[in-house]
Amino acid sequence: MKSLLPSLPRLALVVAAALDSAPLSAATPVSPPVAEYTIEASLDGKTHTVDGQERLVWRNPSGDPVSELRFHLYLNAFKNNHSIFARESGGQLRGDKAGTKPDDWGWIDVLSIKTASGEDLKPGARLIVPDGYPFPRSETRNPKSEINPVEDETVLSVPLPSPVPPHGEIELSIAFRSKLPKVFARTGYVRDFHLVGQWFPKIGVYERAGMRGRAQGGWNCHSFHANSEFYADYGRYDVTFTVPANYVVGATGKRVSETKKGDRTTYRYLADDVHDFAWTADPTFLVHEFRFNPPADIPRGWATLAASELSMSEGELALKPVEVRLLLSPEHASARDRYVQSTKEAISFYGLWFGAYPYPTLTVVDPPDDGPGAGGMEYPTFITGFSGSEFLRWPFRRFRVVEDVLIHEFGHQYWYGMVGSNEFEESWLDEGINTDSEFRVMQLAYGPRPALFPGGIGFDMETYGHAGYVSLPNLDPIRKRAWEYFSGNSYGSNSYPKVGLFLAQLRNDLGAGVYAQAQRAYFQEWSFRHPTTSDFFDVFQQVSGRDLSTYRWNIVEGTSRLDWSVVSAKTDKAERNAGVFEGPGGRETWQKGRVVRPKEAKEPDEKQAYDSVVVFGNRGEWAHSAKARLVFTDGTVVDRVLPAEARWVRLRIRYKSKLAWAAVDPDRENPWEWSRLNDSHVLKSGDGAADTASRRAVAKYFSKAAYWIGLFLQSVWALA
Amino acid sequence: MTVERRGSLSSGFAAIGGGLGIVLLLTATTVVLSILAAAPLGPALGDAFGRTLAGDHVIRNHPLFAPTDVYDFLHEKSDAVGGAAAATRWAALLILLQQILFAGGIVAVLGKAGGFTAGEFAWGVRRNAWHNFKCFAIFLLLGGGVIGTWVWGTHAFAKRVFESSPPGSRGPLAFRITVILVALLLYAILSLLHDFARAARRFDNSVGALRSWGRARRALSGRWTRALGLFFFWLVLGGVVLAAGFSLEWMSPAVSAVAVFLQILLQIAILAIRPVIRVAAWGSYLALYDRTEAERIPPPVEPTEPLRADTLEDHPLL
Repeated sequence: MKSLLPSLPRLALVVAAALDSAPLSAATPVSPPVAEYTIEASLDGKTHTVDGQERLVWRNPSGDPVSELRFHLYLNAFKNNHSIFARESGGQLRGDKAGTKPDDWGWIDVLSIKTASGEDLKPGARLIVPDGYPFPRSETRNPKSEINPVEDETVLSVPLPSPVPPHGEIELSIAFRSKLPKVFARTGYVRDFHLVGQWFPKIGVYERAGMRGRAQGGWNCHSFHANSEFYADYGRYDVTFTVPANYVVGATGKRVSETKKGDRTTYRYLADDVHDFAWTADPTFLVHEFRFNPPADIPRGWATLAASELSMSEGELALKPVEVRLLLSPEHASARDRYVQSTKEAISFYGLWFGAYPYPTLTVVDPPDDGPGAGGMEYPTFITGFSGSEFLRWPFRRFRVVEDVLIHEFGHQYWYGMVGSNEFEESWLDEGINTDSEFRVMQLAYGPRPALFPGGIGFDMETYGHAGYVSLPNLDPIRKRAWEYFSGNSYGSNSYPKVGLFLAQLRNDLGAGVYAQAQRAYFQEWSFRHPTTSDFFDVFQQVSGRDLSTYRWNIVEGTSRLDWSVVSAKTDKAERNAGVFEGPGGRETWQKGRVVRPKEAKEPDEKQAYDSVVVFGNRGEWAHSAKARLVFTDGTVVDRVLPAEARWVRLRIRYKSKLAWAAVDPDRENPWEWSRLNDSHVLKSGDGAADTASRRAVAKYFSKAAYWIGLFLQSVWALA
Repeated sequence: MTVERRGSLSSGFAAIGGGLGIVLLLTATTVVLSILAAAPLGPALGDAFGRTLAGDHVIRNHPLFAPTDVYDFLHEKSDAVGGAAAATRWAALLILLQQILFAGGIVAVLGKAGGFTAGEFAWGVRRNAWHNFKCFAIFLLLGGGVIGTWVWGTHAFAKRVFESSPPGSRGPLAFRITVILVALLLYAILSLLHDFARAARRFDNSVGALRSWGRARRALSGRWTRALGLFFFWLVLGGVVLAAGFSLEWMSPAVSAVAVFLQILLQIAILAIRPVIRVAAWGSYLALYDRTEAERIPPPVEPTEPLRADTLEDHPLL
């Protein structure tokens, strides 16, 4: 497997980093540090503002002279209701509403930008809208802006007096003030809780020619869209922030110092090989620190299973200890053990299957009930969970939202954190692949139906994927720029569950072992780099040795469905022999299944047989094979493979028993199958192999529906 | 009308036996309307689960396949589900109508000594129909106004006072519980007034809706504790029995034909719980009301001297 990879030296470097016990924050960066930040910041807990001074060293990764720098000013998405983010989201996201009060808005002001030599770049800086502004423009757009009035202020272009030479570097000094919004879309404050994300001027990614399929070098620095997340270069973050002394904090990276002065405390954090930095502060956090301690914390059997699927020894899959800092909102104290357990499960799974978690620390933040928009978010070595109080109580307790979200967000340390795909343009590469991994962890840790309601009602992860797949008009392919899907739901469906389902299909077709090896190879090849859809398929094709273009063009880049169905099925008595036949003893004349001979006329020569005819059809656009199963009333099972290229197949079988039922894909090996209701046809109910309860199901669920309606009707009695 | 004399609570229990016909009528109406409302689902269920393995998965609660099958049913047969929802809305209207009308029959016959006939019940329904419609309108206006104002006002108050309270703090929780309890109490008071206003036609065929509400208020005056006690007794008892029945039905797997049949019987039995409780509650209220009426109408005065017919001699024209 490894020999198939094109960049062995790089792989060796990554593996060495993963196995080495030295922390990544100890001056041994694995990634080329394109952006190096040194930030000093101070939080005012009352006004929810952060005053910052940023020193940025940016290294030109290309062979082009670069005469302009571009910065993300993400917080300006929350500045007013004209921003692209506000327009696209309608001011609402994940249950939060933007700007319901004057103090709810958030923004970032760049106070000064200077070069190391003190040259002021601010006069030439301009706000730009690289993706265009697709909404009617307003008459009241920022007339007092110091830079220039545009509707969306999330991207700043800074022309340079002299270009940064190829592979050269520039040092900038930037002063800024950030006002956090009321918790909204992954950042903000509520009461004293602060999630400080996307809070500083952050340089975009300069993509050199050839990188991610680019013909020419250029900036990749999109406006902040409602449906998109982030994209940035790797580097080092040295961040010092000061907060009121009673605040409990957590941040990306490793804490290296803590200094108390009066009623303020200053913390310094260091992080290498990361592409973002976030932190949190809240005086009410409950702190629980624990260590992931392999092998004691790896669930039993997982290392053996991983070694088997990856064709590696368990010794090669050794993991490293991780210091975990869990910051719990007080109302969720009872979720502590659930967080601890699921964190250990997540570190185990991702580490075993893809490569050991290389950072020495992980911070897990549990946001308060009144800040749900801060939940379920990933930043490097820093994630936020979600444990709304209602999910900690009956009847939702076993719905396992706490575990599911935690595992998903931790997974982003791999798919987003280390494999740095472009979330603006190819969200499926992080959200989707991570959804597949999340499905796998949940199933391994909590069984086939991880999400349960009382009474045994529950659903498996593939049902979630299937629901996302079929619930919307099939208008968008999986791969699309995040803001170009026809709706937010379509972005969500195509970025998360549909990809989980597609990858389940790919795993079933390649086999669990090959799939696991390919996924590991993809992770290790593209760690600390920026892969594309092509890179994903290249690695999978190399490892599997198969042409996977049908998956790419039909599923990822297309909207093809697979919908095999049983078009018709019937079974009839076979027509009995009649006529003149050449038998071993000479010519015989048969009539109604008997040989016409006087002395044997009373003995039937032929036993009754049945002709069964089943027609299968693929109503979908994707040509993919499926298994067909015919089961007869004596319990005999006949399996056939319906070829991929066939639009329909007619199977004729003469057998001594009647056909009981016929089905396509009876074992659900094709998760991409569109409808499950047309996959089977039952001809006969009864005992044995052909036993089905379909008619009883109709009676049962009709009566159940009537019963629930009856209960509802009786509730109306309260009115009269 | 001659009525049986018992305690209010025992009258409630006695009403279940005495008003069995009404219980059956209420249950049957619910069942019939429910089946009619669910009817659009019949062909869809037959198509999706009849003669398919999907039905097999669903009835056996297959851990992996059943959820997808159910999802596909809801998604692909959304027209049928929508049809059932629309039919349910109409059925709700009909059942509201039924409650308004049947209350007229109930106040006419329940607790009556010697039982009653279907004709007497129907006569009560007919006689009190218009009165009960007017009483319902008053109840709706009062309920919407009083409870709506209470809920809206306290919500606005809570939004202002508790906005910066941390989640899980006890103040807002206690306030929310208080709001709900007071809203329930207000509902109980209005509901009792509504029932007593309808009961006013038990002895007086000509009393109007507004006067009957006034009469209900007077009847309950001094007896609120007892009346509310009765209301909450039947509410809690009914709730407990209904929850137990609901849980039993929810937990029963019902895979075999016999089990499915038994489950259907259980469902009907559960649908009979509310009629039983409703009739019992009516029995209690009417017993209480009958007693207040007996106290209100003074007993006939015993004559102290022989009655004489009035003649022109006693009252000369001039």
